[in-house]
Amino acid sequence: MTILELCERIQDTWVSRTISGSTWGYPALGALHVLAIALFGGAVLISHVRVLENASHDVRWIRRAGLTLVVLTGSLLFASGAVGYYKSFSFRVKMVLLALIALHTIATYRQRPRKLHSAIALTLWAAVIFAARGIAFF
Amino acid sequence: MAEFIKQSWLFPVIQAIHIIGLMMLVGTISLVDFRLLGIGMRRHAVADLASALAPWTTRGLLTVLMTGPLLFWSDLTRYLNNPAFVLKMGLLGVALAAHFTLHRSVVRDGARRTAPGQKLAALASLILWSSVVLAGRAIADFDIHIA
Repeated sequence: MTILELCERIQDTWVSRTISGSTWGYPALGALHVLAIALFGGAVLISHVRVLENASHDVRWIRRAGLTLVVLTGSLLFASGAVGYYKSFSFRVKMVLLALIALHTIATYRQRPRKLHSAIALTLWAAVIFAARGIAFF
Repeated sequence: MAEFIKQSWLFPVIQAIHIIGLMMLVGTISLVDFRLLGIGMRRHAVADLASALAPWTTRGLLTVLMTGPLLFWSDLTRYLNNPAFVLKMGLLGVALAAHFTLHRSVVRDGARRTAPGQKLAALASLILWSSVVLAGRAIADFDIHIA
């Protein structure tokens, strides 16, 4: 099975068809996705800019809750139109950037905080936002 | 110029910067609200947390206030005819007014435990800012196309 066929199958599942077939499914999920990003973004930011001692540790639960909501709503949005997203250049760039963030997080896990690592992480997150906005246009 | 922004790659780029500003603004305000509600960061006093995050809240506010009007100006008819946009501006006015009055006064407290009044203010702040974000996102869903 090719990735395209897999996307067709995902798009044809009950969950996907419920979302794409309803008037409010997609807008509601999209709104929740952006809301979660706004809340999650603050936690990611202060985990890296170190305005406070141990901030990253202190906000870990808020960060995890935000990430869970972003991934959950994002997956549902993707499922509702998997083929279109798969064909979108911006979406592919976004997924590569997210994979890079995951790798970077694993590579720097439990290491002493370093400015360079934080700069890389924040740059990648900003790039994700740019790529994500591009999905609607390119 | 307005036409150029509307038609070109500049529009999504400005939108992306707007979203990054929104993350700084709403992200840092909500962290203070969560702290007021007793969720996370409990080793820091509310006043310390609020003053440490304040520069980022300001940077976020400046970013959205610079990019937002640019987006608005690129397509005045679109936004003025969009009910979600009108609602967002109303909510934004209330959220900003509450932020610089009510919110500012409840975060001055240096105590570790927060009073019920502070919690209520935090909840109001979270609901208001979330509504602004939700209404903002809904602009894309409420375009009235004039043929």
